[in-house]
Amino acid sequence: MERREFPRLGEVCYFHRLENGLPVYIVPKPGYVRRYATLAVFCGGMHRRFSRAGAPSEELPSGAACLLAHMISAGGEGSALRALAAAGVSAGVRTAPDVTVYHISCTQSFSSHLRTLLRALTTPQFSSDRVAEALRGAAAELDGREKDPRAAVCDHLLRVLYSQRPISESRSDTRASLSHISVQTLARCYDALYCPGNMALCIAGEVDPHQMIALARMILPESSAPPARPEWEDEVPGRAAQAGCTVEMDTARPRFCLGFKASAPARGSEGLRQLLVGQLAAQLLAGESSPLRARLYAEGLTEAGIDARYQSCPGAAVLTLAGESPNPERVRALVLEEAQALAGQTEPERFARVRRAAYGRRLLELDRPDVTALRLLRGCFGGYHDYEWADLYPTIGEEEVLAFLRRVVREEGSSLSVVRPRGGTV
Amino acid sequence: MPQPVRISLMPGVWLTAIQTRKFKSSRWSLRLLTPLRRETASMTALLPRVLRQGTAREPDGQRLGAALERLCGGTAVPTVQRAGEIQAAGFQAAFPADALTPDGGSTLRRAAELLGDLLLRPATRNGRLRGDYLDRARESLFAALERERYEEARDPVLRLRREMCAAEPAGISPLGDAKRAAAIRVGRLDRHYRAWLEESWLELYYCGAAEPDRAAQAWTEALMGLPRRGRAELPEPQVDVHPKEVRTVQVPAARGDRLALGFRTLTGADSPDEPALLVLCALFTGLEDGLCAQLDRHKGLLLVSADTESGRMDERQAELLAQLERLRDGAFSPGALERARGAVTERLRGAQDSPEALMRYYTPLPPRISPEELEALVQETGRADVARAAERLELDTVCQFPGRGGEEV
Repeated sequence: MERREFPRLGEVCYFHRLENGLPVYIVPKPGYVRRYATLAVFCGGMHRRFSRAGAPSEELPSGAACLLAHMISAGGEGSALRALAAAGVSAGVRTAPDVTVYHISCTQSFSSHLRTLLRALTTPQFSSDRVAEALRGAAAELDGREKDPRAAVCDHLLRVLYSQRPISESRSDTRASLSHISVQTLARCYDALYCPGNMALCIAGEVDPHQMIALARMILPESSAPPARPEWEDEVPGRAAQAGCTVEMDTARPRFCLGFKASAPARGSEGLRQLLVGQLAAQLLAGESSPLRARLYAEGLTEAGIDARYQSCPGAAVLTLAGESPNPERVRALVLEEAQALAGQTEPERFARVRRAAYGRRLLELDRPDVTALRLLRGCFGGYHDYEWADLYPTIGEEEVLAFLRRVVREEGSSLSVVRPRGGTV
Repeated sequence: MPQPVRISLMPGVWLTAIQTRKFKSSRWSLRLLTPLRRETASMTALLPRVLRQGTAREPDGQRLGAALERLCGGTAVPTVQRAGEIQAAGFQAAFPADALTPDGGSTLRRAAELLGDLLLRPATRNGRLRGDYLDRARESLFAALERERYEEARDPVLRLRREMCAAEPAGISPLGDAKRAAAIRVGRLDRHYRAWLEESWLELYYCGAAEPDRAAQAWTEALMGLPRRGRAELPEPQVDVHPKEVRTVQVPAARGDRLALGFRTLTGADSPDEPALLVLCALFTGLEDGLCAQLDRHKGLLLVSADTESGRMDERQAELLAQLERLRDGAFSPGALERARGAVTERLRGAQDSPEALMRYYTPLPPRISPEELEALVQETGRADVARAAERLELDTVCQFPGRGGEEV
């Protein structure tokens, strides 16, 4: 077992890869009474096509990953996660474009609950009844997203910004598409993608690392077939698929999400560096101390604030600015203007301040074991150790971030997703 | 977890301080507590949003943002909450722990100073709060009111609570209302601000590596000049409200059929019945899937919501009341009681691992006992205690949420 210390963060992290291919991270949290287990499966909304060794490519319908997660977590009587919840364990599952994440946390009988979770994931029971129940859960989740203007405006952005199908359709499931997914399809998805080599586990809290490894080894299969290889093209940076889209919803005020396409993340530390550079760029462009934000306020364009972030998943990355505005098109114009002005001048003092703030905000996240675990697991799939961010930040210079802005924040690479009040009333 | 220390800083100003090195951040809260009144709720809700836009030292959002960046990415967020008949408005903040910041310098005094500036030394124009900042704050408040409406449409319990307390101050939204907010002019807001500073009860919170005395010192210096007029009084919680008759209201729901029952517990925060009521809620919730019971400890409400089938509202209500009767009779298994105690214990222990959850426990009105002490009382809660707490419940309001149909898969 590998033990690494991260003195800048005051953290220690153990790592071990089981014989069946499952990577396990253990993060000791002295003084914590709760213990946390997060298991991520590299299977999300964008896993629509894959191939197994020597076999032709196979397709999955939209929503398969989400429905499978609901079936494993809640389908049928005696379901494992339901039993865990009844025992007072905080237990849940969610599906993102790139991963499905199962998590539990509790203060007592952690080993026993972890065993239950791992068994549920390795011995699912497929039946029509369970799929029907999972369908209700998945439809309710979909309903929530569709009716929430904040979620809907981001989902629509993915569809208009990207041309490659997996990412553009990663949030395109509908009730109709879900209802056509069969038990056999879910079983095929499970066989291809739910194998230890395609998962990663993180345990945090006051635990004995050796005991945890032994427990995982005992429950999970000794060996595993190599996981299916997902097939997708990296999104080509440059032109957005469409300039934008507008939908009407039950909302009192117009909402927008403006996205700029960035290069697909590299694997390894370079991928982590790209992520940090992108996040710094978002803060430099539209953070609280930015001239852009002051200008948007001054023109009354984003009175209720603006959220700037950079996110990436395999094959695609995006810098987004989201908020409410009476005139989203004007916001786009100002963002482009300010990005151009920003990219042409250096302000070392401001840059150092923004970098220091980004560093500090990452530190704040370490108080959330669930967030820490998910970052570590995503890093595992991306080929890097997430805790290395603390060493990387000081090496990122202003010119690198400005070059990113020059490359990414361009009109032809942008899409503007807008949600307007139904009937045009504001 | 170390026990919190309560320190009086000046008349009507109290600090709850917890010293711990467990977290990688320090957490701060500054809340002014006033009686919740329809005439003033919108103005009070606007104040933190106005003040957050600039101080005399950092007069606009850009410079204030830069100040937070210098404090290693700290956050200071305006907040407005309700606790029974009390409106709590102010700020909550987080700063990375000094030991981990790149230069390791202390942020304690600077963080307190920034929060003190936000409250007491705002950016002004002609000696008054700025009109343009009011306009922005108003837009932000409108957005929050819309989110509140959205949440209420999704969560039957929120709607039930509003129906139950419609005629009481506790039924007023802590955000006020859009119509009153739209009519507020800067002169009136400025006068309200000054009275708010003078007359409110002030609750402060700090959780971090510094000793409580150092935290108290930092807060005291930051709040130098806080005007205090007379003695800040908080309204007595109105929990002894016996419903004259059970009210039934129908509210169309977007999806699914739901039923919600609102009971009066006739006891308030820190009541000896609280552990038993928490266990009672967990027992109710554990009865079946789709059933949820929660306690509003400040207002003495127990709110139950349940899934139901279309056209079976009355039968479902009868079933739920029958379940309650069984709880009153103590007709539940030792296993069910143990699981319920376990569920409450889990939640209380979990709060000790999260700086946000810990702050939620101690603010806006700190309970008299710590999560650990409450947990010990929950462990001692027996069948008779639960039955007694259930016996006291009085049904007040029934909310039926018939689904519009046709939207289920």
